[in-house]
Amino acid sequence: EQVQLNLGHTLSPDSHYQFMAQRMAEIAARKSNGEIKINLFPQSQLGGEVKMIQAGRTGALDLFVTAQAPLTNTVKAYSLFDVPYLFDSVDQANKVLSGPVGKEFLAMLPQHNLIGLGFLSVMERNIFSARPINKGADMSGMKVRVMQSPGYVKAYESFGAQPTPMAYGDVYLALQQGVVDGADTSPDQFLQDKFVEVSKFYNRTRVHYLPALLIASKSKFEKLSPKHQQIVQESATEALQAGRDFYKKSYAESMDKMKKAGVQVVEPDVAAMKAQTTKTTEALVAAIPDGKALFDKVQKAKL
Amino acid sequence: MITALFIAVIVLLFFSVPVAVCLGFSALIALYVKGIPLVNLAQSVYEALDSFSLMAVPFFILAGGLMQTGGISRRLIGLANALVGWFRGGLGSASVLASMFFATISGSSSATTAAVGSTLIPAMEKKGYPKPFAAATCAAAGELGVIIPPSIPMVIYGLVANVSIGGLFLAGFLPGLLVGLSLVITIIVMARIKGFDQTDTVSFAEWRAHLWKATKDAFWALLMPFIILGGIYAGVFTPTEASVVAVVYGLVIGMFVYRELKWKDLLPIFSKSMVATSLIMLIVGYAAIFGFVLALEQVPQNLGRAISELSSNPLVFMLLVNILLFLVGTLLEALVTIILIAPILAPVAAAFGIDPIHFGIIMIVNVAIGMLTPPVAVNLVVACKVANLRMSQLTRPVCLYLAVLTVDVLIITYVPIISTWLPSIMK
Amino acid sequence: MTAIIFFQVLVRFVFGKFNLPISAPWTEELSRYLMIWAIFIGAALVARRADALAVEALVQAVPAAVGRAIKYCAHALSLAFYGWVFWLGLAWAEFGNSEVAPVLGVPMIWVYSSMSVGAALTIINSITLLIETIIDEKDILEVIDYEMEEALAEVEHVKANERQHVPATLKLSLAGHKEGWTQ
Ligand code: NA
Ligand code: NA
Repeated sequence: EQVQLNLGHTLSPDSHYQFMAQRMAEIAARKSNGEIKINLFPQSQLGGEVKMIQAGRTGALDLFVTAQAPLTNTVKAYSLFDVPYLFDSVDQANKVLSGPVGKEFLAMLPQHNLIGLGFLSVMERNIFSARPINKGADMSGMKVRVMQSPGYVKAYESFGAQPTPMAYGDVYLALQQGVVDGADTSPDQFLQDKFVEVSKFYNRTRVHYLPALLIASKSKFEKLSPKHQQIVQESATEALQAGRDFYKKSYAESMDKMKKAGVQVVEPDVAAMKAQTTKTTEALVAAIPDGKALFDKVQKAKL
Repeated sequence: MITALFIAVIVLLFFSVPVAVCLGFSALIALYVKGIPLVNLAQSVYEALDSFSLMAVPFFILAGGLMQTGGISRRLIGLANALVGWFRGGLGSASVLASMFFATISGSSSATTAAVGSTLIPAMEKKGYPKPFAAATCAAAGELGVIIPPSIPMVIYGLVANVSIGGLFLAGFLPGLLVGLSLVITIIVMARIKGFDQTDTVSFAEWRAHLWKATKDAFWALLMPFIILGGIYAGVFTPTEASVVAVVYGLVIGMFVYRELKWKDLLPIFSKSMVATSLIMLIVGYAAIFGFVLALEQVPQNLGRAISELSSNPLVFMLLVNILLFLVGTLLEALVTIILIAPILAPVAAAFGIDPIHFGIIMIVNVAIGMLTPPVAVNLVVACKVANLRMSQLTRPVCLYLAVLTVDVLIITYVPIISTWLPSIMK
Repeated sequence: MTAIIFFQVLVRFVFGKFNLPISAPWTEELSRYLMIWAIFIGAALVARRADALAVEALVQAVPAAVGRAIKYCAHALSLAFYGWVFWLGLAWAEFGNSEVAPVLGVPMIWVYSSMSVGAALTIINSITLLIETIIDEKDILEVIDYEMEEALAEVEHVKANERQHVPATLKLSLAGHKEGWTQ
């Protein structure tokens, strides 16, 4: 008997999300002799991340990929990842999240009727802009579009920037017309969403490393036979690893492509910028339930 | 399953069940059949309504209400008439021009038809225009209200098809000019053939004096589109913020400059705007759960596949789209058409390589034409009420204008640069 | 009334946002939530006036008695639907207890309860309207589309105003014709 599972995500068909999802569908089909069929819905076809999280919780959607930020509305502890300069590199963040810290975060999900199948790669968030950012002070007075999480807003305020709320879809035109001076996104999405056409500088500010998770609806997952549950988890684990590798590859390719397209890649003084955010970090961590303990665990796992 | 869903919606629609209820009710049944928790209805509705861009809709509606009561529309009509009212066919042309002026402050077509028609239909009649022709002229010109920005259907299209609203606003400008120009030419030609609209000889000095007076009179009204549209294009504000500026501007001009807007007028305007907003938003909200069901059933993908098997030629696809929209437009109201059709067709159009903004303009112009095609033809009904005519009396002039507009829509469809040029030079 | 105040508050908040050089994210969030409340309360006003957007072509085309019967059925279906929405809205509001607004930090039940409140008011208003059609012998068919009604009100408004202010240029262009346009 065939089981159909719907998997939604918000990125384009050439993203690492889609690559992971396709890989998972292939592996699950193979391991189950075609009993498990995973239908893919890329590009927000089933709604944005907030909607998919809600649909997963109510049992309307079986599987989805989401970045961590929208999860914080449901699981407060996840706002730890909004803290600026929590990680130093993609590899380091991925290593931490595949260890015990990652497991601890996944274990927070079932009480909200979600099952975390694992972390996909974190995405490095850098500011693309009309003027270069070599140090924190260069962002002074700059209108930047960042995610509306308090951690993002406060981090950029500590550089003197003006975080501006805006739909991601409006950023292209807003940047073109000067409504905002910059916005943050990962190198691959900088190209996929064509921001390369409207920005002169890509500044590797690396303030945030945005984790992404593959999540299943708990009520739907528990309806699967134990054998199918195991296949879903195994194929997820395998596909997530492939997805992380794909991200690294497309990260490198994207950096190359943007340089070829005439975008100047700026390497700001990240250590100095990190020092500027110390107070913000302390305040943010203090506002998270169990924040200090979680923060320390991350620091330990980085070593 | 999907066929059943569509049949259910159509049957309910015909039995005069409110559109929002048709969509929500059918979607609930579909969720039930698919074994998806029904609470997802609420979730989808909230996710659709929780949008900053969507807030442009109530504010543009409110701004339109303020400006009508605040005496702005009357001054725009005066100016249009001073500008072109003097030649043969001039008064009819003035009604088109006034509609174009009015369109730059109003997002709705019926409001444009009402504002311009109630002054100019009687005036045209006095100048010897056949009354049905005058009424049809105002109804046809009224559709410019949604083609020339700002436009409520464009805001909704931008949201459902995930296209830049500012981009659509820019793109609508030249098609609006094209439609306006074609209507003016039609009127001038008809005035010659039928010999109505006798011209009084007006000396240049006289004309200039009138124009100067009308321009002075309409100055604040004329500044409005520059502030709103200029603000959007120059990047000072987003469409939502522009809509708020329009409200403030309409309030200030109406209350303190023209002094025609009284405190006691405000409450009714606010409550009317709120009701109008709710009407639109409920449909947007309940269409979202309907859309979720369609997405789960992969309707856009399957439809896209079916159409590409029919013909892989984008030109043929666009012709099919135009025919479909014309047929749907006879029966459904403009926003309903957009909310139901855009999420299905926009991805297909994208797969055919059609520019999403260009495709949006094609849809907007088509739904605008739908306002002239009975049985559901809001502009015609308004024009008929103003002129005190029955819809059937308008058949001949309306057919004439529909023919002209059909040519316009084909030009807009097959010459994409008319829509894409302005957004592209703003880059 | 409450609804209108909501709407005004909404306007004021967005004004606030616009005038501030730094746009505080909470104004945007709050204004969105107020808009949602305004929509659901406005929905009840729509029901009171029976002017929900609907396709009236068939109802107007068939004999009045049949049309009236269809119309009553449509109202009954709407009532059932809003009853359903009321229950689903409650379940959703409860779900909102486990979510907080990203910026304001309040539980989302404050936002999510608007659907049930709106549905309840809609039901009350629809029933009032139906009772009215029976007691006051109002014709349920005599309900026109809202947008049209607004446009027609505008026509009346313009006509009323025209008596006082006819655009000067229009007067001029009509000068020389036998009948003056103001009469
Ligand atoms: Na307009
Ligand atoms: Na029509």
